[in-house]
Order: sequence, then C-alpha cells, then structure tokens
Amino acid sequence: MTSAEREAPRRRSVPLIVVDGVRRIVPMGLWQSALAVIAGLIICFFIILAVGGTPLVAFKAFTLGTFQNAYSFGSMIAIATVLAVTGFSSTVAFRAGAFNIGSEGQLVMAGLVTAVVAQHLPGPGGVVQIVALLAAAATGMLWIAVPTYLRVRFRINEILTTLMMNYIAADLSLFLVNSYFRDKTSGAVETPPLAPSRWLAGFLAPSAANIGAFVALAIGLVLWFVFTKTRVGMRMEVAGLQPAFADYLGIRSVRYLWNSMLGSGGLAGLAGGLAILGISHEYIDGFSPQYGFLGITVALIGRLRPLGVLVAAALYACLITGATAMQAVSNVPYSLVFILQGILILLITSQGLFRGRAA
Amino acid sequence: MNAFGDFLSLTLSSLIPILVTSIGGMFAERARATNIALDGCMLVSALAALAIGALLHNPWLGLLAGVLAGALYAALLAFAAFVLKCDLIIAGIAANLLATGLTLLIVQNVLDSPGTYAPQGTRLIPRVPIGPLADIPVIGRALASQSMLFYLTVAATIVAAIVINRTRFGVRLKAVGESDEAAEAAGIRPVAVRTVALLLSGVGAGVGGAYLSLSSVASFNSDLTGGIGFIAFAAVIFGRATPFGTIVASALFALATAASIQLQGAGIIDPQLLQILPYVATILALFLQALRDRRRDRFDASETSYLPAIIPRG
Repeated sequence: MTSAEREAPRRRSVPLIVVDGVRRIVPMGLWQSALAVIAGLIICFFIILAVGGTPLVAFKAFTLGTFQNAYSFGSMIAIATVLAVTGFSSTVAFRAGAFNIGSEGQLVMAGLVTAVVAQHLPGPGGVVQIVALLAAAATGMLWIAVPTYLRVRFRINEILTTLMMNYIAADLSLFLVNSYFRDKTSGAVETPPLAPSRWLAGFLAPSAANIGAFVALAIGLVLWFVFTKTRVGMRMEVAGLQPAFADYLGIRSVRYLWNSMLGSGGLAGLAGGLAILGISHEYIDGFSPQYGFLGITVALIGRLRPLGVLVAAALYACLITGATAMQAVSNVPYSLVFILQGILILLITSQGLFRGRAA
Repeated sequence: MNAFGDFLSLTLSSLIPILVTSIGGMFAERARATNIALDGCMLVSALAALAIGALLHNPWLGLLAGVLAGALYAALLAFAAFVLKCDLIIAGIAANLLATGLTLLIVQNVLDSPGTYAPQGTRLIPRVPIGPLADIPVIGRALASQSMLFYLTVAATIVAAIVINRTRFGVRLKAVGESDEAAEAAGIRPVAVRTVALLLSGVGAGVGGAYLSLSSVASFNSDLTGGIGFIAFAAVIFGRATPFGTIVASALFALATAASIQLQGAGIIDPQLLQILPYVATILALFLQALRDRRRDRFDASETSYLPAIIPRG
C-alpha cells in the first residue's frame, strides 16, 4: 500500500472543514466596502420600492433619519458603541484565523452578569460600573473558553461550537432570569431596573449616548497600535494566516489562537456590559438586537482594521437608527437592517465583483 | 411499554427534519461545498411551504414550494460562492442572516402578520394510519401516527445512500471532494458538481423546512427552526458525510431532542434548562468523535503531522 492510498481515508477523519487564514477572504481595500455599501443601499431602495407605499419618504428616513434631531444622533452613538466593540470582537478572532460566530451568546451571558453585579454590589457607582464591566469581559472569555479549548486541543470546528453556545446562552440566560433574578413586579422577562448611579454617564440626554463611546474609541486605538506597531500583533497575524509557518518560526501559534479567542470573547462580553449599563439599564430578554452578529458585518465592512471598524460601526448604527425612524414614518419594517446585513457581507467578501476596478 | 412507544414516536418525529436536512447537506459536504446555511434554507422554505400551502389549500403544493424555495436559496449560495467568489463559509453565514431578515420582511409586509404568521384553515400534511399494525407493541405505537413525510424521508435517505455509493454522480461527487485537479483531469467540472450538490442540500432542507411549518401546527415565526439546521449540519460533520454516519448522527440528535421534550413534561428539571439539551449533545458528540480520532491517530504512524526536524539550509 502506498502512502497516498493510506492517506486518502484518513483525510476524512478530521473535521471536513478546514478553516484557514481568514484575512485572504477580505483582500481588498476599504474602497470595496464603500462601493458595497452604496450597492447595498441601492438594493434596499428597490426592496422598499417593492413593499412600501411611500418609497422616497421611507428611504430618506432610512438613510438620513439619524440626523433629524439630537436624540436620534445620540441613539446612533449608543448603538455604534456596542457595535464597534462587537466588531472588534470579530476582528480579533478573524485576524487569528478563527471564526467567532458566538459573540451573540457571549454578549447575552455577559449582559446578564453585568446586570446582576451592578444591582447587588454595594459601593460607589463608578467602582461598581468598572467591576461590572470587568465581570462582563470575564464572562465572555469563559463562554468562549469551551469552544476554544475544543478547537485548540481537538481541532473541533469552532464555527459549530460557538454557534451552539449561542443557543445554550439564550436558553440558559432565560432560565437564570426566570428562576433567580427576575423582577417580580414585571410581566416581562427582565431584572429590576438599575439605580441611576449604576448607569454609565450619558450625554446628549435624553438619548442613550454614554461614555462607553470613549471606551470603544480607546479600544480601537489600542488594537490599531497592537496590530500595526507591535511584535505581538505581527506574530498574531502570522499565526493566523499560516499556523504551521508560525510554529516553524518559533511562534507558538496555539498560544496566539488562545489569546485571540479569549480576547474576542472578552470584547463581546464587554459589549454586552456596555449595552446593559449604557442603553437598557437592566437585563431584559432581547436587549440585544443581534449585536453579536452585526459585529461580524461591521468587522468585515471595516476590513478587519480597527479604525475601519469604528467607521463601519458608526455607519451601521446610522442605518439601524434610520430603520427605526423609517418604521415610524412608513410601513417598511426594521428587518430591512438584517437583509442589508446579509447583502453587505456577500458584496464585501466577493472577490469576483468589482474586479475590473481592483487592478 | 406504551410510554416507551410514545417516546420512540417523539424521537421519530424529531428525526424527520434533522435527517432529511442532513442527508441533503451530506451531498454538499461530500463535494467540499460546505452548506452552513442549511438553517437559512429551512427557514425560507418553511415560510414558502406554509404560504403557498395556505394559498392553494393543498399541503403537497406547499411542500413543492418549500422544496423549490430551499433549492433556490441554495442556488443563491452557489451564486455567491462561484460567481461572486465569496468564501463559502462566510457566504453561508450571510445567507443565514439574510434568511431571518427576508422572512421577517415577507411575514410583515407581504403576508401582513405582526410576528407570527398563522393562516386560518391550512391543511396539514396528512398522517398515515397503519391500521392493525398499530397493535404491535412499542413499534406500532411509535409508527401509528407519523407524518407522510416520515416515509418520504426514509425513502429519500435510501435513495441518497444509493446515489452516493452506487452511481456515476456519486463517484463524481466524491472525486470533486477529494481533489479538484484529479476531477478536472477526468473531465469533471467541479463547479458544476458542487452547484448540483448545493441544490440537493437545498432540496433536503426544503423538505425539512416544510415539515416544520406544515406537519403539526401551521404557523411560522423567524425562530421556527431553533437551530435545527445547524444541528443537521453538525450531524453531517459528525457522520463524516457518509450516509450511514449521517443517519446515526441524526438519530442521536433526534434522541436528545426527544429526551428534552419528554423530560420537560415530566417536570423533574426546569423546562427552560432542558431546552439546551440538543445543543449540548451536539457539542458533546463532536467532542467524543474528536477524542476517538485522537486515540486512533496516536497509534497511526502513516503520516506525520509534525514538521521535519531538519531545517534545510540555503
């Protein structure tokens, strides 16, 4: 038996998907993102045209609704804060050559922990907020630790496991709230509202804009610095693109994968904490309109570059706020945001589209 | 004994959507055209099946519509992968997200329902009475009132196993899955084979989706699948994309689903907590498989997975 013959059946024994170097999937510059966003908006216009009675009113609200007053603008900033951090979460995982599709679950679990910690921990508001946010990040890390361990140690496809952890998080958080933390006076599945001293300091009141925005900016700057200016960032990139090559160079790719995944989970958790302390001020079922999944889109629009992600988060938050405004003035529903999300990912990661101008 | 028969019946009805979807997904996976959007396909076809079934007052036309919608949605994925040249995994994730948005939009704007679409007077896919056979202990009770789709699924599974192992198409599928270069040298067009494989996975998910919306309750909301498509995908991976493996894996996950439902009725453990059982079972199954592979690989010296010790100079 030749070695090739022996190899053939064996190849099937490892998980069939080989996930490698995600960076190659998003190869082109930010300009493709810009084109894709324009193309996506044009497609959205036709969808609005197909379903709506007043397409121009709806489309205007969708694209410009954010800027109609200070309140909408503040809401946009609040949403952009969370989206930027989930976007960073996806970016860190993608750059390490891994998929973290479980941001949503990490965010939900961390949101619950934040609400509970912020409610029960005594002490001055600022300290409690910091402890609660750290607890959120730790929860996110914990929630991604299982899929990461399985991926690193046993090469189990992390797409599937992180995804399954989303469903587990959704049911588990519902169970925990219902059994232990529920606000007995409320009909909805929610924890009691937090005292205002626990809220992140806001601006542009009464909108939800808060100082979390500066946390997101700071994280963006730190990531930019780490990715582009440090040895750690360089090694992380090599370990993500070519793990075997990295090991050959003496970079322990496994350690970088661990750190990146934990970082990704921690950021997703932090995003959950920011959403609770900054926006909803309590844990309520469905507090996240899929922030975790939107983070994937935002990371891809931003081409996995921290500053690009910041811009993309602001842009997408504009569209979400716009969609809320649109829902108020026309019969086009909010779900257009999710359709646009799918379309954008396809357009942005396409390597066949816009090819002529790429050269 | 009756209780056991009822449990078996529950397992079989949980098995239908998982098995038929994963059998379709098996074709795609075997051709190395991973369809991670099985869940999205199911969602789209569940809505199509229900809407058309209700419109035409005929569940079979609904099923047909579901199958067509599933295939169409898989065609979209193939278009994204082979024409737009997106990465198949990322395109699949996008397709799943798109399916949620699309179905929400259609339910709200085209069908004019707030969140859950439940048309009045929809005829369901009939259940098959098995007459005197129902008196057989355990098995009779388990099979007594299964949906017609159960038998369709069994037939489809057998046909799929024959197609993949005994036909020219099956050989081509596996050839493309092993090596593009070899397949091309033999005159096979990998993209064409993968497109067909993806369409087949859409058809399977289409039947699975139609089962969800047309078998017991005729209603639809965007959480209808509850991740069954992903569990089916896990069954494909766990079954190594072979017919037998996929059947066993599907049965295992169906068992976990049924146990979760059954125990919820028993009231020993909190029902909310029990809902995580199928997902935990999926992760656990993948873990056990990896554990077994590792043990085998430890004694397998046929191929070293480590780098050569000698570093070439120059």
